[in-house]
Amino acid sequence: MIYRSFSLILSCGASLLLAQPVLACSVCFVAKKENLMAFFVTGVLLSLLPFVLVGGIGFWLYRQAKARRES
Amino acid sequence: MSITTRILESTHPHSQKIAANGIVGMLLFIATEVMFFAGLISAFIVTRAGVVWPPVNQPRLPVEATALNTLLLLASGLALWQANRAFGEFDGERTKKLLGLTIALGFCFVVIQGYEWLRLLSFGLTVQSSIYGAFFYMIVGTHALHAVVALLALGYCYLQFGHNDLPRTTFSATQIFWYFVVLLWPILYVLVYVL
Repeated sequence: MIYRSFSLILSCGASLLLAQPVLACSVCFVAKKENLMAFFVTGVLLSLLPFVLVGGIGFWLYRQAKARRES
Repeated sequence: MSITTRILESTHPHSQKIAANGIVGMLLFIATEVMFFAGLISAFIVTRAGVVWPPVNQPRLPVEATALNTLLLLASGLALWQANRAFGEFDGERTKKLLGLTIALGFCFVVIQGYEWLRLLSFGLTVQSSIYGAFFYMIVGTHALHAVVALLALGYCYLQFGHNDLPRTTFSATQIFWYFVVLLWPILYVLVYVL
């Protein structure tokens, strides 16, 4: 039992000490914070942009309809 | 009455449309184009993050010459804006002159860009030379393709206007496309050339 616990602790410790970033993504050229931040920022941009575009066109149509009604 | 109902009802022959089909169609097309360029820009930003950029042993881009070229493109957008005003005031002669000026300035932009490309190719910057070259030709080339198509559309408008057969919707939709080309370029210039 003690031997198993010791092996487990040793394995976990070794895993923590020897852990290295793995480039699992085909577009991850470098595993740096700048790269991670770029992924985050562009991800947010690409997620929100369609809502802004469709919302913008919708708002423009609403304004057109309002102007037509008032005139 | 909801906005959707009103749009649907606008297709009825006795109802008034709130926007021309051509303009709404062009706006939706521009929205897809914005997403396309956003994808290219995102890939470019992610690729260059955390690495030495531009890569060593690669030719530097002509920042100053392209800045002047950018002014030409912005001037063409301004000329088109004025052409639209003249069109609204039924000033045919002025509209034709300003539309011609827009096309001339846009044409100069494309020609100067092409000349810079030839110089960069002679310096060894090709699509296959590095990821730097690949992104440059992909992003700037796609914009240039849009500029050429928009110039053809403006040329069509110019010819139709000469025959007194240019519908307002066609002119407006073409304008939207050209403004997209003009306003997108400064963003690409700063991202690709300056930063």
